[in-house]
Amino acid sequence: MNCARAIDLMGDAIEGCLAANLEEDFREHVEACIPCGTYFEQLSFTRRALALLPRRSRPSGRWNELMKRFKREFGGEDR
Amino acid sequence: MRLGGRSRTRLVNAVLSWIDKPRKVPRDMLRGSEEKLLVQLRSGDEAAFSTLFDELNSRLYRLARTFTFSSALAEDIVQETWLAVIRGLRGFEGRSSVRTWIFSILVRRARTMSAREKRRGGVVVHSGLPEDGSGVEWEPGGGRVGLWEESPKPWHLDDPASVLQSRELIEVLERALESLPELQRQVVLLRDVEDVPSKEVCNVLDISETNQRVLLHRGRARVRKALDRFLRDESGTLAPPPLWSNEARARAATSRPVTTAPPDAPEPAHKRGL
Repeated sequence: MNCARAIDLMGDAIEGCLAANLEEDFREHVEACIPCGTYFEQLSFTRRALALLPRRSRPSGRWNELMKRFKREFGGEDR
Repeated sequence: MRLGGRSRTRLVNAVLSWIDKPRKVPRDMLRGSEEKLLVQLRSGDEAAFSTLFDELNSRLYRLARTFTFSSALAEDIVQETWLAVIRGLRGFEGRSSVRTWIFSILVRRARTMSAREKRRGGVVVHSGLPEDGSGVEWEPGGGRVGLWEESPKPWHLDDPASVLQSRELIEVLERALESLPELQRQVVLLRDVEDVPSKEVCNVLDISETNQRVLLHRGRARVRKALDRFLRDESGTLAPPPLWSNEARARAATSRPVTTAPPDAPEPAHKRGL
């Protein structure tokens, strides 16, 4: 497997959906090729870091309006 | 060029083994209890609606901001989305998760409302053009072009969870995400930050799987590049971030920078006149 092919497959590898018949070749390439291996590690790290980004709470000044609409739509049912 | 070293094999195996594992902590609390949630909502359970709102509101706002620079318009988009959710709850057929359904509503609302605002003369829609000055984007089959010019140097970072205790690194990630072209940002936000399944991302944004893969790779590559820039000082050496482990510091101190280019990588973009 060459670098271009390995790079094309990195997205699938990170998603965990690399085709079974490509796994061994891909693994061999990223183990053997320093730039591709390093890039792959960093891309994986980046994805993991993005998944861990904290959520920013954002108070909504319009909550009361929404709750009013929710009550109007569903109020009284099963109650 | 083959290393064959145990340490590299171990590292690559560690990366691959993480990938194969499902996330231990679900990104949201909606999964697995959706039927119950829907029953509660449809019966007028205010606490359930409040929970849904708390769970999703800030995430909807973040997605809305990918369509517009205007915080006021983003808030309007989110509000309109919630109103549509209330109106549509009875008719929701469960063809996707509740969260994906709500994201889909937001995307439709956002496209309509931001286009309307643009027609009125407001400059609120992102251009979709690269914002870092580079015109070179990665293409499938293009090798490393658009991804890296010099060989990537190892970061020697350990667990992203501990790294993200650094406020600075969080800001680097947030800024990198915000600077992505519109559709790249939406794909990365939904897939990587929100952990929406690939197929559902395609449905929400109405894009093909191939397009999604390319956008995702480009977006991640840009975020990686931003992290890489932050982790290096001006001299090109790796600057230790605040929360490096002692082990990582020791490895960084003894490692040599990698200067070898991939054997079959194409010429750098600038040499090819790109």
